[in-house]
Amino acid sequence: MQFKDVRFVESKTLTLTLDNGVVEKPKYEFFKSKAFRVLKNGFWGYCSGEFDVEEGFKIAEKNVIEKGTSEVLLESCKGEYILKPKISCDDISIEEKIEFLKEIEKTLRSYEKIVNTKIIYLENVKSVEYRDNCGIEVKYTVPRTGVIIQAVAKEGSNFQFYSERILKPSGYECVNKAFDVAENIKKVLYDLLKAKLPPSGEMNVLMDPRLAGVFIHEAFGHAVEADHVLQGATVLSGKLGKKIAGENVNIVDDPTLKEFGFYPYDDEGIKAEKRVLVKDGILVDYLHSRETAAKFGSRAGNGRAQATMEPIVRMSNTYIESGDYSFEELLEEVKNGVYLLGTRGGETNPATGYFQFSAQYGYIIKNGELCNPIKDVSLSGSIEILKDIKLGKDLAFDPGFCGKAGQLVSVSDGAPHSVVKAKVGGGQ
Amino acid sequence: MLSERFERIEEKWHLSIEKSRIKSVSYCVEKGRAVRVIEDGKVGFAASSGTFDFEKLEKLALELSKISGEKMDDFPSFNKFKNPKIYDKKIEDFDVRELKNMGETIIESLRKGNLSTGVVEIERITTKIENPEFSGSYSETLAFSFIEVVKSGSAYNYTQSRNLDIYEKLKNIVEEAENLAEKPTNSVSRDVTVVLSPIAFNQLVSYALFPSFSAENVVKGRSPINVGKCFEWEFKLIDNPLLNWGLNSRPFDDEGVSSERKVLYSDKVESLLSDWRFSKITNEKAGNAVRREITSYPTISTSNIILDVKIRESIDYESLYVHTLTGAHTTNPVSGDFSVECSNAMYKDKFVKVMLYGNIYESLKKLESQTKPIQVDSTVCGKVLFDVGAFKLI
Repeated sequence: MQFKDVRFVESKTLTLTLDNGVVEKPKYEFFKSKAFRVLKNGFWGYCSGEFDVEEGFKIAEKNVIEKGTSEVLLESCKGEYILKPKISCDDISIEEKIEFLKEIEKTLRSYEKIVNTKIIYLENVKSVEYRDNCGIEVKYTVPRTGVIIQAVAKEGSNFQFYSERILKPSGYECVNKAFDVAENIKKVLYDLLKAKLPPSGEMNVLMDPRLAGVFIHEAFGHAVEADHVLQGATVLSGKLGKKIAGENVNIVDDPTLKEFGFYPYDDEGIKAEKRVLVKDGILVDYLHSRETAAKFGSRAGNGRAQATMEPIVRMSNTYIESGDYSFEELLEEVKNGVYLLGTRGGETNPATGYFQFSAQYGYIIKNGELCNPIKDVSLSGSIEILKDIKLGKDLAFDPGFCGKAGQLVSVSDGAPHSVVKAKVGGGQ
Repeated sequence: MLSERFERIEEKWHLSIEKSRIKSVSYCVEKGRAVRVIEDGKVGFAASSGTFDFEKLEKLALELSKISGEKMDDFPSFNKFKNPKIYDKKIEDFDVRELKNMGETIIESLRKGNLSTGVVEIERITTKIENPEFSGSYSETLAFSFIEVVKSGSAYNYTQSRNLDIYEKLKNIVEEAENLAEKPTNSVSRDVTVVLSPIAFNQLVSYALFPSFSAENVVKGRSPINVGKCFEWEFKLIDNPLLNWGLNSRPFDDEGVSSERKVLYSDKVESLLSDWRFSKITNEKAGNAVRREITSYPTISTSNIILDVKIRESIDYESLYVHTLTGAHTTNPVSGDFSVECSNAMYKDKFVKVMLYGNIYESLKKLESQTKPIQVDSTVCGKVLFDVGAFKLI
C-alpha cells in the first residue's frame, strides 16, 4: 500500500532586541510552505516547497528510487487545537513591548558593574495542518513567547557573562517574571566577578535543576530516540526491560505539559501523550515516530520537524522525577566537591553514551557547605552515572532549542537538584 | 525611504542512509525574500519564506523602523566585483540517479562496522540584491556529505565541496571514520603535543575565536580583541571570500559589498570583520555581512579563514591526535575559555578518553605547524600541531 501525507505550515515571528539600551535589528519574519511524503515499496520520497498538492505528491513519488524496508503506523483521528493565550501579544503595542524591555535593562543597570546588556523579546505563532491518506486530519495553532536576558559585568580586566531566558507556549503573560530573572542575573554576576577557576578531575557534583535537566536531555534523552536504536547508534539499544538506572529513577517525556516543548499533535498528526521512559530504574519505552513505532510495535507521537523538514524522532518536555533528598541532605552527600548551576549547552554521542556540558557558574562544596564561587566549568561523563544519582525534592523546567540532523525544535528539560560523580574540567 | 531587496532561492536534493541502506530521497525548494528599509536614518527589517511580495514586506519594515534605534545613512554602492569560482555546471544535468550513486558509494566504501547514518546533499543557491545604488546576483553550488560509523565506538566525518564530483571524498570520509570508530580504553594524563584534525580545529576556533574578530563584538565590548593587539601567535589568519571553490566564497556579501581578502592577524590584529554599518563606526572595510538563513538579518561573519603557518609533510604520531570535539559550542565567547571532550582521540596507537581545556588566546601561542590544508566549514587548515602545554588535559 502507498502511504502519503501533507503538512501545511505557517508562522509569524516578531523579534525585538534591546542592545545596550538601543533597539537593534527589529524583525518581522513569515514562513509559509508545504511538506509532502510518499512511502512506497518501503522507501520514502519527500518534497517541500510552495508546490500545489498534486504536484508536491508527484515530486515526492518521483523520489522513490528503489525498494526499502520502511513502514508506517496507520492511525485515524481528526482534531483541532488552538492554544488561547491569557494576553495576546497582538493586544500589546510594539512601543509597550519596548518600554518593557527598557525597564528590564534599567533593573540590570542598577548594578553598576554591568557594562553590557542584551535583551531579546520573541513572539511566534505557528499553525500546522496535517492530512494523510489513512484518515488523519488535524490542525493546531500554538503561540510561543519569551525573553532572553544577557549581561556582562566588568571589574578591572575581568569580564563575566551570564544569561537566562523565559520561553513558554503562551502569550504575553509569560514575560511578567522577567524582572525576577534580571534581579537574579545581577546576583549571579556579583558572584561570578569573585569566582575562581574550578578544581579539575573526577568528583562529586551537585547539579541544579537546569544543569541536571540538560544532563537528562543530552545523556539519556537522545539515547532513547528510537531512530538511533534502529540505526544501531545508541548504548540503550536492546536494553528495553533492563535496569539502566538506580531504583529511585523515573524519567518521562511529556509533550502535553505547558512547557516550551509542548505540542498538541506531532508533525505526523499523532495526538501528543505523556510517555514514561524509565520506571524504577528499568527502561520501559523509547521515543517513537510512526515508522519506529511500527517497527517496535509501540505507540507513535514523537515525530517532530523544524518548519517543513522531514519529521524525525524528538524529545518534548523531558524530565527526571523528583526524589526524597532536601538541598541540605544533598550537600552532605557531596561532602567535598562542586555545586554547578545553569548551562551554556551540552552535547552527547548516543552511540557511546558520553556527554559534555558546561555550567554557567558554581560553588565549591567543602565539608557539606557552600564556599567560594567558581566559573567556566564543564562536566563530562557517561550515561552510567544514572546508576548512582541522588535526587532532590524540587523539580524545575528549563526551556531551550534542541538540534538534531540539522533541525532545531523547542524543548524543555526538567529535573530536581541531583548529585552524581563526574569529570569536572575548566580550571586549575 | 531607502529600501534594500534581498532574494534567495535554495534548491536542494537530499539522500539519507540508515544502517547501510538508502532510506529516503527528498527535493526541496525554499524561496525567501527580505527587505531592509532606512527611514529618517533608522533601520527596519521584514522577511519571508514563501511568496510575500516586496511591497508588503516594505510596509512592515517601515513600521519597525519607527521604533528602531539602529542607525544607517545609506546602503552600500559597489558595482564592481570579482567572481570567484563557486558554481559547478554539472548541477544543470543533475538528477536523483546521481544522488543514488553517491549513496551507494558511501555504503560500498565501508568494510567493517555499521554505517548507522549518512546523508548526501546537493544544493544550488541563487542570490539577488537590489538597493538604490546596487543590483547584483550570483549562483553557487554546494555538495555535502555526513556519515557516522559504529564499531566498538562511533565516529562521524563529513566533507563539503563546491564541486559536485565528490566520489573520492565520500570514500575517504568513510574509511577515516571506520578507522576511528573504536571505544577509548586508555587515558592521557601527562603533558603531550596535541594534533587537532581540521574538523576539531575548526570546531574550536569557530566558537572560541572567530566571533571576537567581529567589529560589532569589539565595539560592544564583547571581544578581548582590538586592532593592533599582539597575542604572540606565530601564524597569520586571513579571511578570503574570493578563494576559488572556497565554501563561503562570493562576489559580494549579503549587503552587496564587493568581496575582499583581509589579513586578520599577522604579528598583531590587523583588521576586523565588518558589515556596512560597523565599517562607518570603526573605519574597518565592510564586506563580511552574512544572512545565515534566507530570513536572517545580515550579521558579521567569517567567509574562508585561512590558517597560514609552516606546513609539514605528516603529523607526529607521538602526539595526542583528536578527530572531533564534543561541546565546542559551550565555550565562553567573551573570555575565550573552553573545556571540551575529545571524541576519537588517539595516543600512541591507542584510543583514549580525554578532556581538553584552556583559553584560546593562550593555546594558540603554542600552535606550531599544520599538514596540507583542506577546508572545513569556515576554516582552511590541515591537521594542526600544538606544542606541549597548549592545553590542559584531564
